[in-house]
Amino acid sequence: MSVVYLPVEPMEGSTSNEHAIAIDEQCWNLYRPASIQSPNDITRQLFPISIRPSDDMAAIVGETTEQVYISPEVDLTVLLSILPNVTDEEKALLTAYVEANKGGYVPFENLIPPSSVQLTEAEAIAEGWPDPNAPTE
Amino acid sequence: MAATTTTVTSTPFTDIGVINEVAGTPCTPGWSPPPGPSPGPGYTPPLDDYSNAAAAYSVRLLRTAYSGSALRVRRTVAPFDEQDIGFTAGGDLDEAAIVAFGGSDVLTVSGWYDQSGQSNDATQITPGAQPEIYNGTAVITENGKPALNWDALNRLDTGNIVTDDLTASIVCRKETSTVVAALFSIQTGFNNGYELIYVPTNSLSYRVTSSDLDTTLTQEVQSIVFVSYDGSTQQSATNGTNSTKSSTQSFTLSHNLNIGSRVQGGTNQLWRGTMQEFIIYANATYADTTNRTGIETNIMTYYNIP
Repeated sequence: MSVVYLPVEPMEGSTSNEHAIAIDEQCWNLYRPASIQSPNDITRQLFPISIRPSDDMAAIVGETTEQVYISPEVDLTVLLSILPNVTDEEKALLTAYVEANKGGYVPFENLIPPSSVQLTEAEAIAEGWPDPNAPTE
Repeated sequence: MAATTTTVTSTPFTDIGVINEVAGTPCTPGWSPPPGPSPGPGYTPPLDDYSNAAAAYSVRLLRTAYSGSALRVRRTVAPFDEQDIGFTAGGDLDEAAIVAFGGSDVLTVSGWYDQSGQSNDATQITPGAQPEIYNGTAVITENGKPALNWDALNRLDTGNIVTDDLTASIVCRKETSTVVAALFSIQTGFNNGYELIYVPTNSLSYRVTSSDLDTTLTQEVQSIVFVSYDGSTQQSATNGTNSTKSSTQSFTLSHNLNIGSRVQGGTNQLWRGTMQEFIIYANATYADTTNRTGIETNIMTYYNIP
């Protein structure tokens, strides 16, 4: 198990944090698609998001080996539409992988597009994201 | 000692017994409740006597006039649905409703509803950080009452509800560990704001900006923690034993209340153990000895804490 930071670039009309929240919400939709969610549900994002203080850059913080559930009702339309830097080839591979695993669990690392920037926790801290282990007392 | 669990089965006449107890009427076979509103819990909800809380969370009814739910639970397996859980007529958490919803599935708490009337619900939007209330077999309990179990990954957050003075009472048990664990924080940054943290071994550190008041919190003991700050004095009391420290700190907070977490964004130093009640006031109105002991007595009576 290892922690992975996925920095999220701003998208037209969205800050980095807003874009990260939108992606994270779609990650939760893998578990519980919008079509079956209740408006009273509180849970709406799968992973925590960490903000870099120097420039407000957001990073989704996941675990590579975390088992992610793929609902049989999942619809990737929105998720794919908010990944502008992911190639069409990668989107097609992701779609096929998700389709093949509906109703089951897959490791989170298998859902991360290979071209995405991925940082270890140490790398993220070195690049300015808050150290989750500080302060020590 | 780990948190204990009890299996709850539906007992339709339990509430009737409470009604009779409240009304002073002996319970007799065949008795049925009269029509009309519920007479309420068999204890005085603390916010009836100590009003104007900024936020109040519990596994019991804290205010007679409160008509909402206690908390919201989430199923940890498909379809990952959620449901509000309310109270029995006796003011206890409706454990039967938890069992009925959970079945053999583990349930976590996605929301702990604010009973103060200020709508400062404490929520957790990510599943991995939600405390557990039902282990798939039984409701998690502490000394016979339901409890939220925090496993060092959990936190609940609400808005900015305290700007300067503060009073808070918490019912908790710290599980054995050798690391720092936070009960709550309202911090703009390190040493800037409030934090109440367990520091090994058996020390409870109540920090108002850079001023530390260290007292004792024994691990594996269900405890009532009471803290306050009125602009000149820090007070920290555990199970009725209090300490004070003169402290003049100047600050205006603009940060969320984080329950079970020390610094927003941090992923460690989160609470380990149980929590059953958390009431916070954005003032020090009830920080005097008479009111403090009154609040502590109310809590001790309900939770059977010696």
